[in-house]
Amino acid sequence: MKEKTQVEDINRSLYDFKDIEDDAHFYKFQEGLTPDIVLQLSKEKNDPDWMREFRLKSLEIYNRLEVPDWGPSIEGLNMDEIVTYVRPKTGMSAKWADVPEDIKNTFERLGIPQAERESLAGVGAQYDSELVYHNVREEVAAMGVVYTDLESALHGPYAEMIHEHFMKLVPPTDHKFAALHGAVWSGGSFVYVPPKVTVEIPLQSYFRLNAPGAGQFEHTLIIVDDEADLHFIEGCSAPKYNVANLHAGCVELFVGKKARLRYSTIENWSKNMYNLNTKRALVGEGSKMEWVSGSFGSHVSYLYPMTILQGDHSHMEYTGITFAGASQNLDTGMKVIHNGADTSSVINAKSISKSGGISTYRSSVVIGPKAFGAKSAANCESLMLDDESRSDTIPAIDVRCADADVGHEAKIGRISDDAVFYLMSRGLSEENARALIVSGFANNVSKELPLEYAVEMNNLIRLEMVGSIG
Amino acid sequence: MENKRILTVNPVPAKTWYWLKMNHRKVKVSTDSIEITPSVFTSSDDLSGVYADALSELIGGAGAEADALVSENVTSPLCFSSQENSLVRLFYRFKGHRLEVSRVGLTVPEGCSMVCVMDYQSAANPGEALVQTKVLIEKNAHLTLVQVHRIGDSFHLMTDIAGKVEENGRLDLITLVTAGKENDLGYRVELAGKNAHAELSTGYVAAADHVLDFNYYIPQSGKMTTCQIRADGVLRDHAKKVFRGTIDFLRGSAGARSAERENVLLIDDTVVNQTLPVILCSEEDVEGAHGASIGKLDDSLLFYLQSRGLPIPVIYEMMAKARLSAVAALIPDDEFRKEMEDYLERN
Repeated sequence: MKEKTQVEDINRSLYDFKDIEDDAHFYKFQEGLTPDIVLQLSKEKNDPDWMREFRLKSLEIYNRLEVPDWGPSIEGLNMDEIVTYVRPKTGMSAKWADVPEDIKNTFERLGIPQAERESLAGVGAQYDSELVYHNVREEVAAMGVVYTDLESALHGPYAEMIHEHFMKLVPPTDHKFAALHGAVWSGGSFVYVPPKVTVEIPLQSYFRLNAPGAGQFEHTLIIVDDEADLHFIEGCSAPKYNVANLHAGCVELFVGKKARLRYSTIENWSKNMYNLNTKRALVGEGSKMEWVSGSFGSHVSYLYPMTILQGDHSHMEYTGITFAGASQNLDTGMKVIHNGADTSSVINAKSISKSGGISTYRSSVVIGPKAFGAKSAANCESLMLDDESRSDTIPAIDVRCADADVGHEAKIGRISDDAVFYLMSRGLSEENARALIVSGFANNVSKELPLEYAVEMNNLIRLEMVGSIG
Repeated sequence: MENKRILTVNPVPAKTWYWLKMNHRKVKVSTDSIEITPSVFTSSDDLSGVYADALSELIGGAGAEADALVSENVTSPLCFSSQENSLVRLFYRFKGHRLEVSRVGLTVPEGCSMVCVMDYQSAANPGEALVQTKVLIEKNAHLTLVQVHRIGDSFHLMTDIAGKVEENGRLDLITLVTAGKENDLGYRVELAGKNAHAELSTGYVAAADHVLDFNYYIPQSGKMTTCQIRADGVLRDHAKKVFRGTIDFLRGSAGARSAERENVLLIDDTVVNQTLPVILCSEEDVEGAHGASIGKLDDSLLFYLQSRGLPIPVIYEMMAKARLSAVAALIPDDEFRKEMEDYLERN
């Protein structure tokens, strides 16, 4: 008898455990979004005056802007039911031993302390709205690398630098959820890599949203100075609840001259999550920005890392994969703006849709009027694994300079019968041939990740190919 | 002061970010409008058709607002129904000053074929026109529809095509845009029957401060339907062009295969080129591909031609003309093709 061959849904059991958050150990705001709540948060955070005003202004903008109508529906998200701030009743620690037991157990199960010991230069761990752990290796700190939580940095020696950069790349007017972020952000990291410093092994921030009906609004600000080099990894997960959760984080990346920044993300939010995240990088002369992105979780995602190639000879590479399974509508992609001369971008995007999942690749490549000699090459491939699912590609190209070379190729299809036939002619069984093709489809992303994360990603896309084709 | 109304045309079926300003185009048109009819040449006397429900139900790529405007103004659509092999030529000579509106219905009955040439020219004075063509291609039928925009430098022309292709039917849609202050082209062709096929070939050139706006939408609902969209163009001076091309594999279109390709040659740094090549897919067993190549001439080609003694401006002129000539060569009406070849040679 033939067994059905299938590609399974994402195995999320590793992430789907819950800690009960009682009032004795957790403090949280009432649901909703009002000026009083924003002021309460500002007071809680001991904001400088400018930040308090910034939050209130952002709230005004939020109330003015419309919900986007061009992407997946977010009708199920009611801000009146979202708790914007949940804080464990503990301070941030630089030692895992000092982190409360239940929270520590959560991160132990996710493998964060082990990863820190084995393969990271520093770790930040955020639980709900607050960072509970932050540490950087001594030798990395000795090079002048700053890796700390953003809130305490606001009151330290880098306060002025943060004031100069905070939400300058992603202003609250950018879109409704950038404004929301400006009003209620909390948590997140600040990284500064001084000139000519190369951080050999990655830094990582891990975001865990445990509270049902809560929002997470962390802000990541990274400044990589001239001729410096950094790899930053971001991971995120949450248990599944029957109520909507919201993630509206913001990542701002400033890359100096002749510098390099790689920003890798493995996103595995639960399927009740609305992931409305904004990421943006400003890249200086001769510098390189690399994005590696794996999007597997969320009920709805709007995620398009944007790169502004401002300096001449700057370069961007985007490598991303999206896996949309049952009940997921993942709208992902990227944006790049070429402003400098002789800038270049390479985009490699893949998506897999199955079990009624909807995957949309959305992008924009803009070549500005002074981007003489700009080059952009995009390749986008989508794999449909059944006829219940949906896969769309919506790439926009805007060229305002004749001395440019822009190429774009996209393909949508199913597993090629020819490829299966070829592999079978080399001795593989049909099921092995199909498994190999799907694994290979995702390979270009996993090979860009450090080994531990590539293994995690491959675990996420767990392929079960048993028996012959049904 | 002349009264104007704002019309939203060429809406893209799947919206994207508004800041790109590519989701649709808003145009100002005169509220002073008039129904017009073209000069007609037909290969036989008995090609008159009716504007049946099957035609009126179709909505074109220019969108619902354009369709409503045509319906407000047109009382008697010009309709043709093909015999076995028919030729229809429609010559529009716009006079300008008012919004000139026309509607054409083309039916190609089962097993028949038709070539229809629609040639648009205008006086030098400013003006606006909206011409809508609705097309029904029945089983095993074939229509070649040729659209030539060669209006004056002060004129604004909107052409809207709504089509439906049934089993084993075929539509070849050949479009040349050589001039005009503003040209808006909205094509929507549904490949409804099994093995229905559409081939859209477009050549264009835009110069000065002219605006070109394309919206091609091909929903494929029939099994094993196929479509090829190809657009080749040249932009110079301060010209602006938007090209939206959407292939939509609807549920039930198993075995469908489609591809679109756009090549744009940019001559001056002051041009604006926007391209939105979209594939929408809700069927597993399909293959869709799109590609775009935008920018200057390939360095190796340029080097080769320079090595043959051609100066760079001459090379660019030659390549620009080649793009239009390649599309003109597809016109099956010998007499009109010759006229177009002469026209392209002269201009």
